[in-house]
Amino acid sequence: MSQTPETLLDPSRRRWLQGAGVAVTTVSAAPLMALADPEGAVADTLETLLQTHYRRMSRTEIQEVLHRIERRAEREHGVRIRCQDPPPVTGVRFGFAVNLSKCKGLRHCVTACRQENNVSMQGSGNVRVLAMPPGVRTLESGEVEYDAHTPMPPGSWFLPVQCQQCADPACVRACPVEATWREPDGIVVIDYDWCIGCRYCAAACPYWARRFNWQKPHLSAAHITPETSYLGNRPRPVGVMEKCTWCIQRTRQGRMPACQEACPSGARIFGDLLDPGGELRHILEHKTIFRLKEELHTDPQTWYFTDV
Amino acid sequence: MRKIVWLLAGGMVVCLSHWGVAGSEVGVHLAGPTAAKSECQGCHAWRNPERTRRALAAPHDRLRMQHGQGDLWCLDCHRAEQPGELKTRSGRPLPYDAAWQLCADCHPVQITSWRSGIHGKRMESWRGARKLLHCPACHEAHDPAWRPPPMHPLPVQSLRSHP
Ligand code: HEC
Ligand code: HEC
Ligand code: HEC
Ligand code: HEC
Repeated sequence: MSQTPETLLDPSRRRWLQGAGVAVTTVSAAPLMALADPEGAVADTLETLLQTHYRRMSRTEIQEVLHRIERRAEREHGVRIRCQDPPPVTGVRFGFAVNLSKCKGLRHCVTACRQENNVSMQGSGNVRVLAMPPGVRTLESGEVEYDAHTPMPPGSWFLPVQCQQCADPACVRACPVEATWREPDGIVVIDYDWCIGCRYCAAACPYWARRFNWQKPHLSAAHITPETSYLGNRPRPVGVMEKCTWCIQRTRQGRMPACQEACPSGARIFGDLLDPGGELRHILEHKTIFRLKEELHTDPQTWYFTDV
Repeated sequence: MRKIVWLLAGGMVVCLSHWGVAGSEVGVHLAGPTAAKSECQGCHAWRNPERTRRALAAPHDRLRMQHGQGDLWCLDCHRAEQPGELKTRSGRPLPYDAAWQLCADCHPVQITSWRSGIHGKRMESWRGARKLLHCPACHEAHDPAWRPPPMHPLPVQSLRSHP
């Protein structure tokens, strides 16, 4: 998409694959290939292996990749999806705020996130809500496994956590192959086709916001969300990381993230930090706000506040 | 005591109704269709309004007035001759779709935070003119305490089994 930073690594694994790939393609003449591989599955797989980093691809290359992703979804999951690559919205820096007085821990955001983002049916999704004991703010004291009958001491509260879209993300620094970076509109993304699955980023993230696809995602054709994007909710391959992208496939088109849309109490506020009359600026200027683990200087772009 | 509270709130009406006009830049998102005026006039066109507080017979026998804990009654909010419309405390008629301007009479704090995005919910898009969710979409006007919908269960594999 954007220009390639000179520093972008070209890990030797890729270079080796590239060499091998060229050899295979040259040897197997195209007609032979068509006979042995009528659906183009092998060709698609090879081309995915040869594919370069997202930020090094030209528009035409990206278009080919998007079509390949669509074909693969149809072959592997039996669904027709549309995969797009909306560019960053110019002049916009996304931000999120959560009104903790309103969150009642109903997990509608959790469910909506899994649905919108085509999370594996075995996966937990990229939003979690923690039941917090009174007067404590450390994530480690939170409990994910509460239900409506869990006894909770008075003064307990709920803390929704997902990727905080840090301005100085520890995960990005940890990635050895630059498969993850922060986009100009403030969203931290992953090139799932470049990720080598080392999980350094998951270890580095102080918010447990990154999740590994241990298995090939299980998606049911009936429940898939067919409008997808390259950096967003397209079906992920096995062995790569994923995370919340503030529903990049929606928000870059002007829509709200699925978690915001699903929240029945209106606890989630999403918007543009650069809009001086926007909700986020109002909250930052008028409410007592805090961020998670601020002492780590990751500069999260997610703020929490209460009504009082 | 409560009466005094909303008399005080009523005193703010002049300022608020003025603001209501200035507030026309706020778009309202209705979660569904609001009752049509015509549905009411079929009967109310020939009925004399009755102001006394009482248990109502059909067709309103199922309506439970919980709002204001006994201090509020129908014609505080509905127009007497034409209950298919609302009215502010200053008597300005309002369609149901503009209910927030009625709520503003007595809940100025929530209206302010609704307009600034802290209460209620912005709908459709994060950019352009704000479309805010209609107050009655979350608060039934006659029994407005917010009722949480059912909690969704935890997904199959919990995030505890991390990363
Ligand atoms: C089928 C006829 C009918 C329709 C339709 C109807 N009403 Fe009524 N309404 C009545 C009757 C009868 C009463 C008096 C009930 C009683 O006194 O027990 C009444 C009473 C009321 C009152 C109490 C004040 C008064 O004058 O008694 C309000 C407010 C009211 N209706 C509002 C509405 C609204 C708003 C609608 C439209 C959404 C509506 N009604 C539609 C028959 C109707
Ligand atoms: C606090 C103000 C308020 C009071 C008091 C009030 N209403 Fe309403 N009423 C409303 C609003 C606002 C709506 C529109 C609701 C919507 O858009 O969902 C409404 C809608 C209605 C409707 C049509 C929709 C429905 O919910 O069936 C009827 C009938 C009605 N009111 C009857 C009454 C009666 C009868 C009383 C007295 C017992 C009464 N209302 C008291 C504010 C009020
Ligand atoms: C005429 C004054 C008046 C109007 C108009 C009015 N309210 Fe109220 N409302 C009250 C009073 C009085 C209370 C009770 C306050 C208390 O218990 O402290 C109340 C309470 C509430 C509560 C809290 C209920 C609870 O049990 O927690 C909500 C929510 C509410 N109103 C919403 C609305 C909405 C939405 C509207 C517009 C459709 C509205 N009100 C219009 C006077 C009004
Ligand atoms: C997205 C849903 C939603 C919308 C829309 C909404 N509210 Fe609320 N409201 C809530 C929730 C959630 C609470 C807190 C309930 C609780 O803590 O039990 C609340 C609480 C209230 C209360 C009780 C006092 C307080 O602040 O906790 C009032 C009064 C109220 N709302 C008025 C309004 C008015 C007026 C509007 C329209 C301008 C409105 N609400 C729009 C969800 C909503």
